[in-house]
Amino acid sequence: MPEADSIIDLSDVLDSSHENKWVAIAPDYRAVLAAADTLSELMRKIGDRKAIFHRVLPHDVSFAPATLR
Amino acid sequence: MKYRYTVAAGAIDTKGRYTKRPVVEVELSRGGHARTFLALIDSGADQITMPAAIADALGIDRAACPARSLMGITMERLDGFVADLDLRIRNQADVITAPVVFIDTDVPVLLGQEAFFDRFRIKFEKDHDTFETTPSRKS
Repeated sequence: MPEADSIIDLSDVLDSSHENKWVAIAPDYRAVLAAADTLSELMRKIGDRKAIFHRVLPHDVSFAPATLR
Repeated sequence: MKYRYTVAAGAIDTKGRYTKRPVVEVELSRGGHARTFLALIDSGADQITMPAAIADALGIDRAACPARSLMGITMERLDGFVADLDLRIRNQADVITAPVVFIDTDVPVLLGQEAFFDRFRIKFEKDHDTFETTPSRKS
């Protein structure tokens, strides 16, 4: 059985200032490289640097995205 | 390949514990452009769904794409469009080309049934905080 990746705890690098924003996280998950209100703005800030893009949801809500027919 | 559930920053469940979600890194590419996102594996979504800003960033001309509407849990119809993207999941060798529904919202990247669950066998083991994706032999 393959080993699972180590657990990623986004609370180590993200805080309330990132809620409702797009963030670019360093590939080792140790830092936020940049944040912005829109993805296009964030991509402009990051340029060609390697990053993991992520939309930070509000902390005080539950998320249920499932589409319904 | 097994993956760990990801602790969502700041989100707390009804019992006061940190919320964990089945999130995986996925590299999205098309026409030489590539970006990596965290994607939520969403068995309730019919298709892979993403914000239209990703299509714009990857150089997709939305005017040339077929239209498709989407309805979420709020039961409001959202207009979107469909285009193919190449996807590669972290630690998986295979690249899959899949249709993606793009909508003008800031929805996180959602990996839904068509083309993702069709191509990978997904086994959720939330009681162990892990999930497993295995490429399917079925084409």
